[in-house]
Amino acid sequence: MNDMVVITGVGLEIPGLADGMSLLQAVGGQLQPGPFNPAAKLGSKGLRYKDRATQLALCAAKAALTDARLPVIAAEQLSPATFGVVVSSNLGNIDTVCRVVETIRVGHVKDTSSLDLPNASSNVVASSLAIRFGCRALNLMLCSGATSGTDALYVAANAIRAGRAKRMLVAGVESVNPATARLMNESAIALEEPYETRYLDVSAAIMLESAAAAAERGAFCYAYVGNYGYSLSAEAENSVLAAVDNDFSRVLLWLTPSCSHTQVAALVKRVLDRWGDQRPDYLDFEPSLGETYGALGVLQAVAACQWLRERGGAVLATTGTVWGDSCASICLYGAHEHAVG
Amino acid sequence: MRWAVTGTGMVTSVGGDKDSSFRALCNGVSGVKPLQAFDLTRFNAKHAYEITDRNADMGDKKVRASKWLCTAVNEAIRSAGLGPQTTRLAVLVGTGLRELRSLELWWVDGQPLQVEELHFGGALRKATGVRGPVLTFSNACSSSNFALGLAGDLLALGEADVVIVGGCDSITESMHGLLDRVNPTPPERVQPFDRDRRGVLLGEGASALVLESAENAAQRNVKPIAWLRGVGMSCDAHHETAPDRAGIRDAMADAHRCAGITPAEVDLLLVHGTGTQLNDQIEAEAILELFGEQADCLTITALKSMLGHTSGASGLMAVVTAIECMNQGCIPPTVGLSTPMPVAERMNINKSFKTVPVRLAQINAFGFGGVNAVAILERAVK
Repeated sequence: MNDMVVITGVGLEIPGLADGMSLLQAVGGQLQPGPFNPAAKLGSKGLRYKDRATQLALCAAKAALTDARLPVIAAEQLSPATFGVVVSSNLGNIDTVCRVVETIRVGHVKDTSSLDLPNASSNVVASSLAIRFGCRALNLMLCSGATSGTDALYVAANAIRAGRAKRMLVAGVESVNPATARLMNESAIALEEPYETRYLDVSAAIMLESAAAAAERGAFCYAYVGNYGYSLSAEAENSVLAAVDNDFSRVLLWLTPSCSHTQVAALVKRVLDRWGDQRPDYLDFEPSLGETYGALGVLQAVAACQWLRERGGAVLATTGTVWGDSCASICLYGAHEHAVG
Repeated sequence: MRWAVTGTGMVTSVGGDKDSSFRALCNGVSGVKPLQAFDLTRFNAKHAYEITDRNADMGDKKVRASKWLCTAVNEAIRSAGLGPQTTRLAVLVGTGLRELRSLELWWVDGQPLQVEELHFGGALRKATGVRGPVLTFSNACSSSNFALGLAGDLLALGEADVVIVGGCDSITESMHGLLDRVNPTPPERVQPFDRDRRGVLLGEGASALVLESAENAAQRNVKPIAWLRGVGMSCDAHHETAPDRAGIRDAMADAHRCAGITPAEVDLLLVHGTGTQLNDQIEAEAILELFGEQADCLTITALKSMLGHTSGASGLMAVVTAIECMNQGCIPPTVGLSTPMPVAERMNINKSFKTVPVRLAQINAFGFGGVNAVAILERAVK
């Protein structure tokens, strides 16, 4: 049991998603962007100079901590020295970088603001979570592209298994602004198969704990973290097979990357064919949420927890295959499923 | 537990590979020069430690950090004798500024850019043929030391047989500008731990190493060139940019705990030493707090005096350099140090090239957001 890692809290900040609505309920419609009022959730203190990605992640993280019944005030945090953070975001601070370089190009460095300095560092989201919530163990920012959210879960679970932390707050976030929208649109047009989609402000967070730490404080357990599998996109089913350990029998739901891409649709068909008679449900969040890129892996984990709480079994989640040449999968097991497995 | 380092590589502003870089460092060669590609009229700070691979007439080029990273990784792969058949291999890259220079060139100069070029997976796979996971960590100025520690964890957990660790950074106009904005007087060079230090200037380059278990190396008939004894980590959870003495002390103490050593056993300390008033003061105070009287006999050197602040790559550059120090029995100088700052007066900071045996080396790396990672390396070559 010592190396088991469990999910004890989930949180979302997706402006436009009604309060209390789960991601699974959101599938089927096309979510429209809504108002974002971080001060209402976090209080206005300390928010003024935070970029939008940081504000989104702070809200999602606070929701996950609250859901896990952990303190949200740094000074009250439970064992801060063994509490770490991993954040996944590829686009989080690019608006700051673009704005600052533009300011310099049309004027002089004196025209920039020193208040932009923290936001120009790509890890500002991860360090901001640590400062606000009092997490003094390892603090990591992953910017690995489309698989980054899945990678973040893997890295966080490893940090617990390796004894670097007892608790890890994991967040995924991408924000929309002229720079991110232009970069994603230009990149989408240049894909082998040009692609049109939408981009929304999205953030998701989960609370990972060692099973022992969760049990010690009597925490509710949504899921156990299973295997991680990684492969090149051309061999994407290998990442899936590694994540389920060649055993599809317990998987009741598969969360996939966007099936609008031919190669993802082909992957889904190949894997489902392999699955045989007892095919699981499969879900793709792109039609409802747009392209969520580096946040997708963590969004999927939140959705998986919502599913596992209601239905049990296991949920497989896959990211990548497009926007780069790699694919990552991870399997999450319902608490009862893993205990008897 | 200890892990075998079986190959290393490095590209710096003073050398195109590991050997030439280390030779230049031992000779006290500084990479500082007038800005190569930025418009001088727009900055107060007009110097940096750049790699001269751009022709001023041709304008700036994108994906330079990716190019150096691939060069360093290929050098490490060659020196480790890793074959293309290597399976269960992962690559962890630490970078402060990713390919954000390429982003700038896209935004203001209209150079084409695909979003996946911001990280390093595609470039590495193309240049090196690696097929395993490539994870890019952007943990400010301690990125590559974090990557090194997580690489050891992957081996300990049996998640990989071999891990390649890389660090790379190219200078962005935005970060050079914002650091320029906060330096009270524009520095012309980096003077770590000096009384008259004026602040930080960025540098660029890449470094890489191959890490595996002793058993795996033995099976491949490869001798370790050094042992990774441990990497300590902490987060200040204190301030977005200012350092915190307790967090730095905790990371160093965690490194000693991971390595199973006492501070007195450390022979060589490669400090983070950015040359800013506050950072150097706080780092020195933390060293004195943890090492106590041992700080007097510890040999200290600061590579940023010659390489500038290579951001997320700086930690692993210092690790690769420390391995050369242990294997060649010599230590590069801290160039430009004339009068140590008062708190460092007692410290044995290496002002000139020195030959001295080193068994254990400590490499400090601290980043914005209070993210601290400290590595302990041990000599493997007798």
